[in-house]
Amino acid sequence: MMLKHVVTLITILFVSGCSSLVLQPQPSSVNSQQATAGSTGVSAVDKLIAKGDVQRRQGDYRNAAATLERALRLSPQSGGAYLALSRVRLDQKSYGEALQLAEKSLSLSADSKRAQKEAWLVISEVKKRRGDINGSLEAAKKARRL
Amino acid sequence: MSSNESNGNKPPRKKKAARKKAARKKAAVKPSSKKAPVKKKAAAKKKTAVKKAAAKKTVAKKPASKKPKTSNSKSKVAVNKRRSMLRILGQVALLFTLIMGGYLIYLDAVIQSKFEGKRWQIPAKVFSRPLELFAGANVSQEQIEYELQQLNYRRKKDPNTLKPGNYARTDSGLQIRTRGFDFWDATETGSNISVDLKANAVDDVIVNGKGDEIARLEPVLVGGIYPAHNEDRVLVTLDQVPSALIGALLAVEDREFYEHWGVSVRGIARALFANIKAGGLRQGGSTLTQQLVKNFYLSSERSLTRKINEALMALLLDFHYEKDDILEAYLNEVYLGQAGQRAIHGFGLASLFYFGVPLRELEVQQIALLVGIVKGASWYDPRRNPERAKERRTQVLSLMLDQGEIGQAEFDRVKNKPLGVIKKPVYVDERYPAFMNLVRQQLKQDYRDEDLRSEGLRIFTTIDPYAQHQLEKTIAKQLRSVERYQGEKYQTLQAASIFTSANTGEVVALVGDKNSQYKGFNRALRAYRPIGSLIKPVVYLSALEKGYTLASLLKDEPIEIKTENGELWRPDNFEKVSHGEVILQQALAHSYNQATASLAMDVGIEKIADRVVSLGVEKDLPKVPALALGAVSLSPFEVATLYQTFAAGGFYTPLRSIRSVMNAEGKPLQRYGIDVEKRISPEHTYLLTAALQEVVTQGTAKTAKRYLSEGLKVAGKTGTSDDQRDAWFAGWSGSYLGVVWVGFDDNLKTELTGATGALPIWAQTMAGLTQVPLKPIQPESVDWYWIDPKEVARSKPHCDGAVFVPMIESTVPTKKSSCSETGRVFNWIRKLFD
Repeated sequence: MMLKHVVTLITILFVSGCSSLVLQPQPSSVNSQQATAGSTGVSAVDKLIAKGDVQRRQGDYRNAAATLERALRLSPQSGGAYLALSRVRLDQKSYGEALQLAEKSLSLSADSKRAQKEAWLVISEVKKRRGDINGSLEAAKKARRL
Repeated sequence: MSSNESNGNKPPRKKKAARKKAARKKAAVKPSSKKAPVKKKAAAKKKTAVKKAAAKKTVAKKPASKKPKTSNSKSKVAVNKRRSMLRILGQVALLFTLIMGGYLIYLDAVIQSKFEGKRWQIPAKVFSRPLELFAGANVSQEQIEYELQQLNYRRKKDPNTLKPGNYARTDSGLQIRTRGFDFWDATETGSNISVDLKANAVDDVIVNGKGDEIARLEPVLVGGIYPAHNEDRVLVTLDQVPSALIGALLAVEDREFYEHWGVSVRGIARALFANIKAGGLRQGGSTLTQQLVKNFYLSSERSLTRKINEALMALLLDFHYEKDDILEAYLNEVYLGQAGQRAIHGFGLASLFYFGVPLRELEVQQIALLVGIVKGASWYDPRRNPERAKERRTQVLSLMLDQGEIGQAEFDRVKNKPLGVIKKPVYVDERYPAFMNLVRQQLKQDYRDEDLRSEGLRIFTTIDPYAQHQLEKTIAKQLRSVERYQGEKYQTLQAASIFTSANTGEVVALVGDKNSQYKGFNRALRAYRPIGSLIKPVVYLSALEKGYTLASLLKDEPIEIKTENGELWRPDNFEKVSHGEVILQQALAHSYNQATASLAMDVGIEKIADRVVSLGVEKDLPKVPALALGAVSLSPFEVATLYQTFAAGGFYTPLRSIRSVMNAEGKPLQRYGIDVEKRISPEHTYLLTAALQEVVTQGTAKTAKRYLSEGLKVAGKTGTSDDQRDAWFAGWSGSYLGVVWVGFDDNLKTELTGATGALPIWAQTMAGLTQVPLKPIQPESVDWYWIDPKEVARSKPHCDGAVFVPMIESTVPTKKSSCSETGRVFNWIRKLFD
């Protein structure tokens, strides 16, 4: 009986672990998180990133992008702003742009493991949706390592 | 009516109630201006009626023609004569009625077609980027105040009594009362902003009592794209016009506006009486409607026919449209001044033109002046004829007092105030012609020229007025200094430059001529000149990508390369000296030609040419050995595109001059978002950036430290073409990338190099801008090592010839140098004996 419970639990954990790769409904769990990581060190800009995140979750992509671009103009070295913008592009199914913005975010987020992890998750998601399962798994692995 | 301000004995009118009543009356009996089909039906009915009348007459004629003639009797003859006279008269009358009817129908059509359709061609308005203030922003008080001056804010002493468009200095910074603006993403309402500054950075921003906010100032209007006839206006709707302005206008120009039918008999009679009394033509009897008709539809000739047309059309206009529609059209149409070729129409633009503020901010005496100018924009021009304008303003204020628009106390308070007209129009044509040129070029890809000139588009660009000001100022100063130093020949020396935001690729400043106001040839975009050593970073990047390290040894010695056409190419160093074995980083920092040529031969010219293209310069390049030393002509804009990829961390980021476009009503049309694409690995970007920082600390650009703090850790490269015909510098900090070119249009030789001609402009412009240091982000797989280049081995700081360079893990030599093996003390003893 005990064994059955353990097996069930492991199965659930396994399935939920893979869900972002396999069973993902729209929008992805990558994007349903509350807030994008990567504090810019400037709270006014962080607020803009948070606002952009909210606008994206409401499906208001156009304004989300405008808000986040404003954030990255004010704090051009902010990996977080690029990351949040890459999520907007992901939700808009602009995978090429999402990938590039996530890469840009990675290049700026050396000091934030969390931001790097989230960027790799976006990259993994993009690759999965483009059918590159190996690339997706590879990126997810990088995310897990962080 | 024009100038019917002579008496004012009538009690103050209950203006608003009267207007409403009139509007209700009209609404009940007249079709709304927006119901075009109804009007068309009315016109059609008229036509039918005229046709029917004509038919009846024709029928009536028939029996008359059949009457038998009675020629014997004289009386009968007389009767017949009378009859035929009457008949002719009748026919003439009929013809006249027909013609008049037709003419009225024609006039009606003319009126409706213009009033219903697009009434005006509105030029596109071009705005700068808005200055945003928040805790942590790198901006100086000088820059904020410069921006406020560009926006025509007035500086006041007391920070507690500011009105919109005012600011004051405080102990810790500035207090600003903004006007508010409709942006793409949000409407910023006018706010009270307190900005604390510390050491060229914003320490805190409090907006309406709330801390930690972002305050966004209005953008500066930097230019327009004008229709061919040069009429300019800023459209206003009736609800945007201060009621005092409407009150004053009606008091002065047309008191019975809401009562008359387009033409005022009383007005004409009063004008006639006043003219007889004065013994000359002093007053006109035109209503606002007639004035609008005159400006809108008719020529300026003074003839009876035109006067009749004007009256007829005014009646028709009044019949068809609401009073408020007519008034709104008048407020936008009226001619109020001249700025060079541009005619200033409407109160919306006049307010900016004379006072530098939007209409809603006008004070009562300013309103009185604008209303006074209606009578004669040239005669009462407050800039040319201030006394006359002031007298006119007093007349208008008196009328406003008489009509109850203002009280005695207010009249007394404002009557002696200065005119308050800004010295020169803030709204000058294309303040930044070279930048506008770029904007137009980018707009043309998406918009028709005709739409740009007529649709009243609002174009939000990336230009930073303060950065532009710094660049213009520095170029002018530096070229003057070169001329002073080098002599008269340098009078015609030219310069072009472009500065962008280092990470986003937004163009913040652009100069295409040493005279920044010059509207002709834009060198920043169109002068294609050999770039010299500016190409070397691409050669060295290609080498690093091939496996070279910054510590790899290169041979800087005479070299002969056979070109495709069989000629021998023998590059020489600038100082005509070869340096023997040098490390790669050093060869780049000192821009050694022979070492570079030899490196390029190993990397391959094809590869280098392809890399230039993949880094952003999409054009066919000559695939000859000399390409490695910059035998390729690029414009400053193209060079900036190339270097932008370096400055933006290896991501190709197209240069942009436009952020968004909105239509005349403030509806967003198009946004030009940021676009990035990885073109260089983070590792190679890091190595290249470190090497280009060496150029400034140790190499050909080390004179930059005369102007710039070394703490900024800028990276860049000098470039000098053959015979020193072109001097270049391209470099960046954490905030800005800048490219500067200096040379003669006719390609003459100069005494200048990249370091002496272009670098001073670049460095001084950078020094004028508040910015952050360049801190390249070190990838995990890169670290700094002491290397012995000769042994190609790991070394130690104390070892001879050891260099400290960043390296990618996979390229770090495993071997340890003999020095590092033997230890510090042993080496010290060995050095003693050596």
